Amino acid sequence: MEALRIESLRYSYPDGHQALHGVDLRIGAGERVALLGPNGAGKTTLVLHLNGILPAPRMPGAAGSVTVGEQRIDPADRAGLTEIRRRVGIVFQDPDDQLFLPTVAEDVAFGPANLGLRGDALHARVDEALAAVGMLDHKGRAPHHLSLGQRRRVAVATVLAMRPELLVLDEPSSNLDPQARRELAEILLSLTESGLAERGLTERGLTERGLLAESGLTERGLTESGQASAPVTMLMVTHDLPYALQLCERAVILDEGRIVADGPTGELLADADLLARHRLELPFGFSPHVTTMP
Amino acid sequence: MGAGHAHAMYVHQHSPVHHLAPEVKIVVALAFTITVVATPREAVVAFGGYALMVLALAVVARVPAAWLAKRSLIELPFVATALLLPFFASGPRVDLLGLSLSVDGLWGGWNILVKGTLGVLIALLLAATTSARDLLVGLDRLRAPQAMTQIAMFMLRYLEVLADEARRMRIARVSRLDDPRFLWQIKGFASGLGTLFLRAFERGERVYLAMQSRGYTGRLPAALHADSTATARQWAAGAAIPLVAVVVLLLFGGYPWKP
Repeated sequence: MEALRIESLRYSYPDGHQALHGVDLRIGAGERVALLGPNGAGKTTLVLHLNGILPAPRMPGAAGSVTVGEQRIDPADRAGLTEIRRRVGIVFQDPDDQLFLPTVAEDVAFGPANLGLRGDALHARVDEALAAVGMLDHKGRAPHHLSLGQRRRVAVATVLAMRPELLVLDEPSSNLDPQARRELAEILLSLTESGLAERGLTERGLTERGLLAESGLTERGLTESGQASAPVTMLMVTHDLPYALQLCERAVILDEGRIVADGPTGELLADADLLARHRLELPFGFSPHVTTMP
Repeated sequence: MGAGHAHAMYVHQHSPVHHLAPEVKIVVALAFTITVVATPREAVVAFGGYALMVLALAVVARVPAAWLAKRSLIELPFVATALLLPFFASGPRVDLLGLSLSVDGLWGGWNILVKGTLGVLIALLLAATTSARDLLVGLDRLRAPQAMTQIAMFMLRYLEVLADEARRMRIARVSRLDDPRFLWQIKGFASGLGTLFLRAFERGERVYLAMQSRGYTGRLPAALHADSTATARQWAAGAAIPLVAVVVLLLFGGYPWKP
């Protein structure tokens, strides 16, 4: 089954600068894909298309389509966008942009509360998302008292709390110290390998306690509790090529608004000419040939 | 749930006053203050009654007296005005310790002093027992315009982020041999302020995008702060305070009574 289908997506900013020149990309459910590309390749613009932030309705420079699961994104359909934003969770690069409320718990609750969850169902959601990133003990703390690594984990939790089918991460490893970088990798792997359901993120416990009925979510988010057991699909935007190799079996390179390469991450990283043509470089001393998965 | 330990005003305690819902405390503080202000300045006994009530509240809330005393120094400029009034006001005068003082000025000074002090103490008790975040939650539940509570909420979160950015920019300036001394500092500071504004503006846009991505449609969901909403009992307990104050006012305020 396909998690994401992008077809000849074009986008020009209102100032006339064209950022996307016809992007085609298909990602299967449960896949982990790295989106590589130099600065200014259009990566962030592409990411903002995945949950309908871009394009604005009736925008002249926009063409093509993005389909999440079976639902095609229509920028003019507000109810549809809410559903899309539940299914596609974007973790932005700077956690200080993502975490805007005074405490960690409130911030994690923000997304599900927007979906209509309330009371105990909301608390349960917050707890399970924070537990999934190992930050449950920091629930009541203020974001500015956390380290960058902790803040980034909380930022992941704010999105997990909405039980996304597609998890999109923008430069997740940037500015992290080596240990925080590895811890985040382990969390991301555990999320996508086991799937949310096996981590106890099921709706069943809530339904039994009759909490779902009052949450108003029975129609929307929760009918797919069957699908929730499917592993989360992950799209990771990064310059950190070793990180891409560690976490994603497949990689695509975006340059000048087009997908210019698509294949197993190891093979792409081994092609020095391809990398050089698109302003990508392996870190000094790193060889994709001799690396074995930990 | 407090927002960490960043609050200069909040006194961390567990007391019945601390556990009262913030919206109740805001209404109580406001009603109590209005009662104090509405009391005629000559009703000295009534003010004594109010002072006893404030004292009792401080004891129940376990707010240290030294903390209250230190914080109420904010009132000093008004005290100065109050002290000057007896010398400069016109009208009949009275001789006291060899000084000729205006009677009207004495009452006026007393009026400012006593009402100001009581008002400041009430506000301090509110601040000491309610974290900044809870105050905003309370205001929101009292239907204060969300534009205001949301802006204040953002300020609470981003003030430190901004201060941090300002600090980093200053260090970067100093590292390039900027010599920040009193007036000479202003040029660097002013351009830094412009940069800071632009950064804050850009961050605002990014924060908004991130909020939109999580389903934000213009209102913070009420479910975020659904915990510890005021119960009828809390409202009743809270209402007792301004009611007692009104009783004091009616008993000792003595509107027909004049010295």
